[in-house]
Amino acid sequence: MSKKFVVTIGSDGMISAETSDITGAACLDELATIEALVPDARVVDSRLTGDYYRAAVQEQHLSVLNTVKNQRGRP
Amino acid sequence: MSLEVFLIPVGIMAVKAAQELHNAKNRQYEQAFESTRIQDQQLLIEGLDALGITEHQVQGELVTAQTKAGEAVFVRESDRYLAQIRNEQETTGALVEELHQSVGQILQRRNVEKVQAQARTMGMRLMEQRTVDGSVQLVFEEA
Repeated sequence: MSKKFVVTIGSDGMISAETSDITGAACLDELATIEALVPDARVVDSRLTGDYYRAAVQEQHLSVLNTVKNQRGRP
Repeated sequence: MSLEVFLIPVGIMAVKAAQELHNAKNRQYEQAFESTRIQDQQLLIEGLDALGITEHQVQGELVTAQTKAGEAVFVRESDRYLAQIRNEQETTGALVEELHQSVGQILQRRNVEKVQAQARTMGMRLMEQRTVDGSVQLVFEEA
């Protein structure tokens, strides 16, 4: 799936940008892309949203499942 | 969505930051003036022009402009401009509000064009552009 960026420019001049279809820690790498996309502005705040945490929880869940599977597979 | 980033365009400061600065420097001199979010002199002049206030003079960091209510004075203090129409505190407040709207619209137009151009340079494709409650939303896809 290709990466999407949503840039919203308010009538007060303020700007927000979001990554879309990028989940987990990979989205952190996209901060530089957003900064390059909006060159005449400075970042004042950023936050991770639902997908990041969902992906993190899924990764953690898979890791736990693998551990349990491995333990069960042991003689 | 995974990462949300908030940005302030060059030339203005956040409302909260401007207010905090104003409160922190609550001196007699500043009390007579209204604080603006505008940091850039050119942007201030463009904002005045867009309001039809085209008669203005610039002397260093001082800008004076002829408004219907009288002469407006803009002085630079720290990193933003303060505004005053002599003996017209309420009118000054209204002018600052109009000026913020005017400058906001200028920055919106400018940044929509700039972001679109930058996206093309970065090889991104504009998928969608829509206006919601006065805000312009641009959706780009990375090639």
